[in-house]
Amino acid sequence: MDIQLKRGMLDVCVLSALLREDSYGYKIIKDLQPCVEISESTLYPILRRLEGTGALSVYSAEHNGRLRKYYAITQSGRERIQEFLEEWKAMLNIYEYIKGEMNRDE
Amino acid sequence: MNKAEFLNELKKQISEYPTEETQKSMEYYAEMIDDRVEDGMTEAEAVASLGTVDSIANQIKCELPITTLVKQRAKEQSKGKKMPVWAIILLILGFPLWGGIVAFILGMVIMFYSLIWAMDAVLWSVVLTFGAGALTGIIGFFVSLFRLSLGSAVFYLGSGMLCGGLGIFIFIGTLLITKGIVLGTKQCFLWIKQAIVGKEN
Repeated sequence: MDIQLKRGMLDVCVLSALLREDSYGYKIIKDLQPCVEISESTLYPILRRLEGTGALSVYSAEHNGRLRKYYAITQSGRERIQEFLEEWKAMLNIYEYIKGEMNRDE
Repeated sequence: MNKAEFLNELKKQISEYPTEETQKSMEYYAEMIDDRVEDGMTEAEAVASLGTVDSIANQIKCELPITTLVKQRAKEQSKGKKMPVWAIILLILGFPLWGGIVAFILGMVIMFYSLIWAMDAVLWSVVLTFGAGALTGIIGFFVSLFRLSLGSAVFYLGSGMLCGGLGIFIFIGTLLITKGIVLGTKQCFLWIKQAIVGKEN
């Protein structure tokens, strides 16, 4: 798949994993597993990037005597997901059109 | 490899980079190992499941800003093998020669890149021209209608619509081209970055 496209998709996947509740690295990976296999080293730059653009915020909380970093989605992160959904609606229309023309051609 | 060994190895590989970055990466991977252990893995299994230290270090480097990478690379290369005095003298004496060549190549690259944007700008001005044409057509149409000169009203309406149609058509194409240039630029930077970091990611 186009690398730029995949990158953007993974970003939105990670953001979606934060919609229900704030989450931490390992949990995000586990929650996404049914949808997409993502490794720790892939997730790390995504989280940094999303933090950098303000799509999510980070805070530390204690867990079992150690600090764990939690990630929370921001308003701008929600907007990002909305944009993604709208873009893909347009994409799907194009897909359906191409598929239809292709079927007629056969 | 246990957790401490893993973190030490990682630290060694990325320690030349900004301390804040290094610190954050280490915390992240330490947390990952802890969470996996909590989930029932042994420490060794948890470390093994993260992948090799090399690939992780490489990924971290790839995400750093390009300026940091270049600086770091230059430092790395000058470290260890010191340049002999004659090489430095030769480098300084040869500056008129290699300086010119470097400047020439750099100039060519910049010129070529500006040329691409210039062509894009031309396309945008064509779009603007058609847009202005369409507007003029519409205004002309209403003015002619007001003056009851039906012939010129039809003429204005027709040419306005023609301009508008062509304008929209070219606008879509130009928008795609502009997006393409931006994407291409990003990709080029990524390539340069990867070339500096070295190994394929």
